[in-house]
Parts: sequence; C-alpha cells; structure tokens
Amino acid sequence: MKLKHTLQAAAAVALLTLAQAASAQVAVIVNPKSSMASMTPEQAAAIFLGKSSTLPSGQTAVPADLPESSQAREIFYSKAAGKSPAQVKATWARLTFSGKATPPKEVPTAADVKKHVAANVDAIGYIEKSAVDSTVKVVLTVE
Amino acid sequence: MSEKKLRRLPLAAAALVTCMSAQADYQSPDGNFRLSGFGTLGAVHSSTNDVEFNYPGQGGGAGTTPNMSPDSKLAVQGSYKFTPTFSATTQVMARYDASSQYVPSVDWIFAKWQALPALTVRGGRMGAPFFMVSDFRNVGYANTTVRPNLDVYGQVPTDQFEGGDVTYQYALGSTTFNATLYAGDSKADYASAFRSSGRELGPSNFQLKKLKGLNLTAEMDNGLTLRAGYSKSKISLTSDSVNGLLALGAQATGLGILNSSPALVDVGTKITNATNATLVTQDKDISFVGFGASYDQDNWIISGEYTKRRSNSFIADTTGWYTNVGYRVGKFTPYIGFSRLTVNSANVTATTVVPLAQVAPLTTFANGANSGIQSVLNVQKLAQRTITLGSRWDVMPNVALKAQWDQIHKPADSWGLFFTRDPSAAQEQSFLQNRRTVNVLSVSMDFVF
Repeated sequence: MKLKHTLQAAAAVALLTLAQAASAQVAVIVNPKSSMASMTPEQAAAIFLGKSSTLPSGQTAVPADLPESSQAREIFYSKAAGKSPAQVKATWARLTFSGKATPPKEVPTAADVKKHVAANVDAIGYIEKSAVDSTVKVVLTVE
Repeated sequence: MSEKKLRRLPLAAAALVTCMSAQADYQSPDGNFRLSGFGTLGAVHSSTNDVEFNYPGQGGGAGTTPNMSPDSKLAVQGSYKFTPTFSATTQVMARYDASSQYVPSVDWIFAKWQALPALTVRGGRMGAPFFMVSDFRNVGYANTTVRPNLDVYGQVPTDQFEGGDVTYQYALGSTTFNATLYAGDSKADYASAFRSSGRELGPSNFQLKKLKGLNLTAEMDNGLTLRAGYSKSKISLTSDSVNGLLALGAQATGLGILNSSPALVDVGTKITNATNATLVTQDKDISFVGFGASYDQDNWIISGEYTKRRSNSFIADTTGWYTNVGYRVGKFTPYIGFSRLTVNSANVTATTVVPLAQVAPLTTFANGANSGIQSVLNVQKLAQRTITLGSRWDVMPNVALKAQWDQIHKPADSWGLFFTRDPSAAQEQSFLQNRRTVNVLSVSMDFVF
C-alpha cells in the first residue's frame, strides 16, 4: 500500500512537472520594423549557434541571449536546436576559440531583450511568451 | 628533469584556481569587450619507458610515471568590437612546447571585418584550418576525446599562420556553406629527440612560406557537417642535426686541406653533398589535403577524417585517418575510435656517404655522417595505428572530465609518433626495430571560462 501511494505521488509530481514544462512557451522576437513575418526553429537556432550570421532577410543578425540560469534560454535551445546547455557551450567554445564568431551579447532579463530588439531593426532575441508586448514582433513560438 | 617539473607547477595551480573561481566569461556592460579562456589539466601514463608519449613536436612526454605535460594547457582570449562589423581578437596560450617549457605565447592576434553580411575578412596571426578541427584542436572542452586524433593531427607541425583569410557564407535551403581562402606564412618549433648519439639537440624549426589554402564546409540541419580542405606551401627546415652534419663535412674538408690529404677532402665533400642532397630542406613543396565528416544530433556524436601529407623533401608522404563514435547517455559520452597513420613514401632514402673499410680519421667522419643522416631520416618512420576507448563526463556546464585508453600498435622499423630521448640508444633502437604495442591511459579535466 505504502509503495502504491509513493508511486501515485511520484506520478502526480511527474505530471505536474510535464504540465509546467508544456506551459512554458518561448517566443522568438524581432523589431516591429523587420521585414520578417516568421522564422523556422532551424533558422533561429542557426543564428544563436553561430552557424549563420545573417537573418533570412539577408542582414547581419544582432542576437541577444538570456543568462544560462534562465528557464527561457534552456527551453529555447532544447526546443529550437535540440541542444543541451553543455552542447551549446561546446559549440560556442569551438567557434570562439577558433576565432570564427563571438557568442550573442548576453543581457540579464526579458525586459533587456525587448529593449535590445526594439532598438535595432536587425536584432533578434527570445523571451517567455507571456512577456511579449507591442514593442516587439513574434516570428516563432517554441514550447 | 626536476626543474622542468617545477615549471609545470605554476600552470597547474593557476589552472585550478581559474577553473574553480571563474564560472563564466567576462563581458563589458556594452557587450563590446569579452574576456574568456579555456584550459586542460591532464595526466598521461604510458606502458613503456623506451620512448615517450606526447603531442608530436613537444620536447618530451610521458613514460610509465604519470606526466601532466602532454595535455595540460591554459589559454586566455580577449576580443573587442570597435563597430558592429569590425573587431580584434588576441589569444595567449601556455602549453608544454618544443623547448620542454611552459612559455605563454601569443597564438593569435587578428582583426576581423564583416565586409558584407555573408563575407568576412581577417588579417593577422590566427588558426590555420589544415584539417577539420585544426583551429580548435587545443580546446579540449570543444572536442569529445582527450586530444585530437594524433594519427591525423600529428602530420602537421603547426596550428597557426600569419596572413589573411576571406570567408564567404552561403545558405542554400537548410544547408549553410562556408568557403575560406587563406594565404600567409607559418612557423613552428618541433622537437623529436633530446639527444642524438649523446649530443644534445635543440628543437628543429619549420617554416611554411607562401601558404595558400582552401577550406570548404557544408553544415546541414540534421547535424551533419562535411568538410574538404587543401593547402600547399614551401617548407624550410632549420635543424641542429642537419647543421651538425654540414659542420662535420666542412671539418673533414678543412682538416684534409690542412694535412694535404685529398682522401679526407673527398670524404668532407661527400658528406656535404650527401647532406645537401638528402636533408637540407629549403623551399620544398609540401601539401595537406583532408576530407572530413561529423555528425552531432540527438545522442550520437560521430566524426571521421581522411587526410594526406605530400612533400618533395625528406619529410615522408603520409596518409592518416580516424573515425570516432560517441553516444550520449545523460551527462556521459562513452566513445570508441580507430585510426591509422601510414607512410606512403619516404621521398628521400639514406645514402652511404663513404664506403666504410678505410683508414682511421676517414672512417670516423664517414661513420659519423652515415649514422647521422640515417638518424635524421628515421623520423620518416612514423607508421602506427590506434584503438581508442574512453568517456567524456559533462560534470558541470563549463567543465568536462575525460578518461581515455589508447592502444597504439607500431610495426617493426617504425618509431610511430613517439618521442625518442636518444634515437641511437640501445633500448630505443630495439623499440624501433621491433613490432610493439603501447597502452596509453589519459585522464583530463577540460574547462572554459
């Protein structure tokens, strides 16, 4: 009986965790003046993983990252790129220390990402979907 | 030896302190200045003391006593963005070098200009992409294995060049193509022995001049990256052994003139001519070509390369290949690899300078020259094959621990890629002549900050 209760409790916790993870949506945002209407997860991942330095519009992308401790960052990289934090780190170590590219500028909060995106027509960032407002345009949602 | 060990201590201490204190790289508030770095603290144990295991070119390596010099290193990189399209980068690295010391050196110092969104131009001193991971081969954290595969990367004595490169990026569908053209000069010190016949040897110096290369990559969405590269240059070599032989020839000639001995003058001339014909390397052609593929998707991480070195000097023509397969299980990535380095052509073979049955002073000079030339040409004998088994453990977001076992098989009449303390010593000659299997155990901690 005790075991059954434990299992039930564990199942409940697992479901709750799943539900929380599912509810966390991350929006990839650009400047409202950007000509882009939408992006694929692959296009967004290519920019944030240094594979491509240009936006689909052909302009040089100016990306901003959230800190490693941020949940939105983990969701963005795992859902859009299929990469764990360690894999992202290894990818950037490869690019940085071969002198090919530098990682996106890191800003502390979603508000700073919005400020960055609102200030530059070629900027790109990602934030929790709940933080989206009219200063930015959503081109992709991952969850 | 003990003073060399002492030189390692500061590095080990610095690396540990840095690693424990630094959680992330530094970025100035405006995002324009960045300071970051990487390093490795590693120890290697080899099953033999006849020769030493190292990263080819280093002045010494590991025997049966665990040794930290082959893999341990520390590098710091600073970059500054002057404008969104113009930046400068410098990287200073300390690793065990050809002079058996840890002396920090400026690996890179270059300016980068994003001329167009798809076109990048760089100038200065920077990493040379001879093979697939050449320009980040020292960054243990960015690689699955403890070190890049030596059967392939041991063919190239350098990993940087001074000059410029132009990279064009092109996206076609979901594939990103990169084409890099580079040109410049490169140089590196390279040690292969401490002594020869008891005489102390300093490291040799390689120069690659008029280096020109093309590097093509295609990165696909499914995690597959293909790479092809070619480079050619003119190689020149400065070596104590070769200079010693030229001095020996001049000495015999001089002594012959002094003593009015045409026979001794003849021996001296023969030594000089033979050394010039076989060993003196000035502006000789050398080329590197390589094809590679890597696949990194979900839990699989697979890579392989097929590479060739060609030259018209006494540096042997070689073929090196490897394949490595890893599978992520949580934070662990166990891997297995196979590789081989083959000598296709020695290009230059030894000549007997002087027939040996002669009178006293002539014999001494002739013997010295014959064995001297032969010992330099022995560096052509580097065939070996390797089986690698290991695991990477991503213990923290910026720290990876690795343990690796390499079983190296070298055929008879080959040094493999091992470092010889004195190639003429009896136990090393026995190693050269016989088929041998050497087991190498490595543990390392790689970090980025």
